[in-house]
Amino acid sequence: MFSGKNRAGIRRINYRIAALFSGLFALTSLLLLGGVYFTVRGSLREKELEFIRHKLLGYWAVTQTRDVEEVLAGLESGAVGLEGTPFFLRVSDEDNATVLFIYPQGWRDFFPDNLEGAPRNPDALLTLHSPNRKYSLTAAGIPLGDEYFLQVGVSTEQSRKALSLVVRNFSLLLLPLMLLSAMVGAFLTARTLSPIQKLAAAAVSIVDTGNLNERIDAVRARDELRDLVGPFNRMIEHIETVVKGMKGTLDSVAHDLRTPLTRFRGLAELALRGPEDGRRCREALQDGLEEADRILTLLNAVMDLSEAESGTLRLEMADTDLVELTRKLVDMYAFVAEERGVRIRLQGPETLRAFVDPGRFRRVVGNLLDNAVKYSPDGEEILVLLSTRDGRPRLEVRDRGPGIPAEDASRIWDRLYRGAGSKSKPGLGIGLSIARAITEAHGGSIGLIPVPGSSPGPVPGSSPGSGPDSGPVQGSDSSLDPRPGSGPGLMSGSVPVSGSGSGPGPGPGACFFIELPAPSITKL
Amino acid sequence: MRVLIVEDDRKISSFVAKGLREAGFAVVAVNSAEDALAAFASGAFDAAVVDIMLPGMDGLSMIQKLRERKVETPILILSARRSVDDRVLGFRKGGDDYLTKPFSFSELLVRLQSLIRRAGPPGGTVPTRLEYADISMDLVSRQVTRGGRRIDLQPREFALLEYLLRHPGQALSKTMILEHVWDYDFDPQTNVVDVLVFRLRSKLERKADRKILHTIRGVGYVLREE
Repeated sequence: MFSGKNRAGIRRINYRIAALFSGLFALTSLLLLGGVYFTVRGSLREKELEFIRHKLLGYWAVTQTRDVEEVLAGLESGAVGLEGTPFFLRVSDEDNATVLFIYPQGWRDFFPDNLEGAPRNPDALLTLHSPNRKYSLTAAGIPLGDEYFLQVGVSTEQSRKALSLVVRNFSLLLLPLMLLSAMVGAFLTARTLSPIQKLAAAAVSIVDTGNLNERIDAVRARDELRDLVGPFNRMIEHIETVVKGMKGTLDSVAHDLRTPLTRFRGLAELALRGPEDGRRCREALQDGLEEADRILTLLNAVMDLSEAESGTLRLEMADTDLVELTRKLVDMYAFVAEERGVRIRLQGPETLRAFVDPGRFRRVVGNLLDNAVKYSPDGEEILVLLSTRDGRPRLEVRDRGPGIPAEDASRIWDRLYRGAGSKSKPGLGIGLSIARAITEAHGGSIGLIPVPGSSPGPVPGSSPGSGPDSGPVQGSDSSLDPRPGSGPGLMSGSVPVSGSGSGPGPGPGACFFIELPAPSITKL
Repeated sequence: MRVLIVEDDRKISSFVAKGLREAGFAVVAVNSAEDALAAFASGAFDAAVVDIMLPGMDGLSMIQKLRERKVETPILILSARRSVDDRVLGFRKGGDDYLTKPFSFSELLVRLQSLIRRAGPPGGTVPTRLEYADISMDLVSRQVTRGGRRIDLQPREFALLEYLLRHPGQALSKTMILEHVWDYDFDPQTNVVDVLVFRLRSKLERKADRKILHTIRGVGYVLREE
């Protein structure tokens, strides 16, 4: 389905976008971590200093009401509690020599003798490290009277632990979050790119397999992608129509030509099998020529039909006067009709404009007229009615023939279908199919309408006498074929036959209509 | 009359050449556009029959080249394509008539003669009378007589007889008549031509008159003295 090259290309885009997404996420996370770290560290340090300051001020307050020496003595003897948070306490004299030094056990290592060299500055913060620099103490001092200087220090161990906890937890969170973000990124990318991926897949699949049924689900595509998917689907649809049409044409042409070609071959074979006889051969050749012409006519008609049916027909639309077009055709078909005393009456407005392909539409009307003339009983009238209905040009061709049996009504449009009554009539059985295909290619509709006054279903013999002329409708099948064996022969001087007597009377009749789309102003 | 046939299908070329020679033409047949251009360079022709699908340069390009060189020889295009577009293109490129394959030879002959006649010397007199055997047609007064007897014809019958008189002894097919008399370019699946011929015949061959308008089965109709 998917060619490797294409898949790799789209995957690359997928990965790139996913990687970019998780990278961005990681960067923001790190910035956030940094912010949290420094905030937490600052606040912990603030807490240590607060503690130190609190202690210092506590001792200072005591020395305000009592003698310093007394307080120091009390401290030394353990009168001042050192419980709670461990801290060290050092008192030095004017020369920064240690007077009193109390510290928890194990802190010894923090105090090389450098404390005596430290400045006696109340604002200075002192940081003391253990020899392995793993732990540290923070200390600050305050003068006690004029002589002494008091220093208090606490361990930063608690803060360090808290901070490392923050960092550790954050790191633990960060990894799954990074993974999650990568996944979300990949998911979003895939979701965003899926129409493109499908588009590419469909295109590749069509190229690889020649299968034009592929479409992309346009409903789920979003926004700009829908703009891409829509035209793509339309393009495929058009290609599919054309290709299917071509395939269909080929199939049906082959099918439709087989029968006449077989006849053609049979003619020649028969002539060759017989005794050598110039006259017979000549006749066979003449038959062959006629058959060849029929094949050619059929080929042309079938090609036209397939083209029209498949929608690949290119119409040369023009602003056309349907009245003028119909009048010319009526003139021609009347020529044939009058041989049998059949009149064709054209009724309609002065002009009727429509937007059609005149050459092709002539065929439609011609086929309907031909049909009507063929089935009209001698001496009857064919009515051609032009009108507009809701702005749509409309043409009706009404004959008084045997009508179309209900069981045939839907099948008369099938190619090469010939109703029971039409077998003896000349024709290919393709005229109505072409008429319908061309009309529909014009965006119009074509159909059969029940003739007013006749029975709704023009089934022969169903309701004799209900026709407009109350002519006797002949019963059963015979009425379907009013003129058995009547070909296109040259009949002259046919006496118009009325509804009764020798000839077949008017049947319920058939009425075909064509309705075209209303001509739009912009097209004119 | 010299006619050039440009056709790469040997069978078609030879049957057209044979038929034209029988009809009294001098025929030169070539099978490519390049050879045709060379033939035109070395001599003049009264008409050419050109197939569109040729090996190498196609027929339409060849016609265009000829027209660019101011060669005005009437050209009849032969083509297997029958769409309106193809016809229009053929005329636009400089073709004078268009015949689709398969065609009947008689139609090709009639069309070729019409082309040559139309391209004839401009100073030539336009005939006002057409005559064949004992039939006479005055194109101005539109009067028709046979053996001195006046025949009244309807406009369509007149048009058909005029067409036949212009091509005496040549078979005219139903399609050609349909196109000429009704200007109708598709097969209307009707026997309108039969009807018209029947009517004209019954007016021409009244009573003891000799038969003159004959039907050739599978081919068409011909005006010929027996």
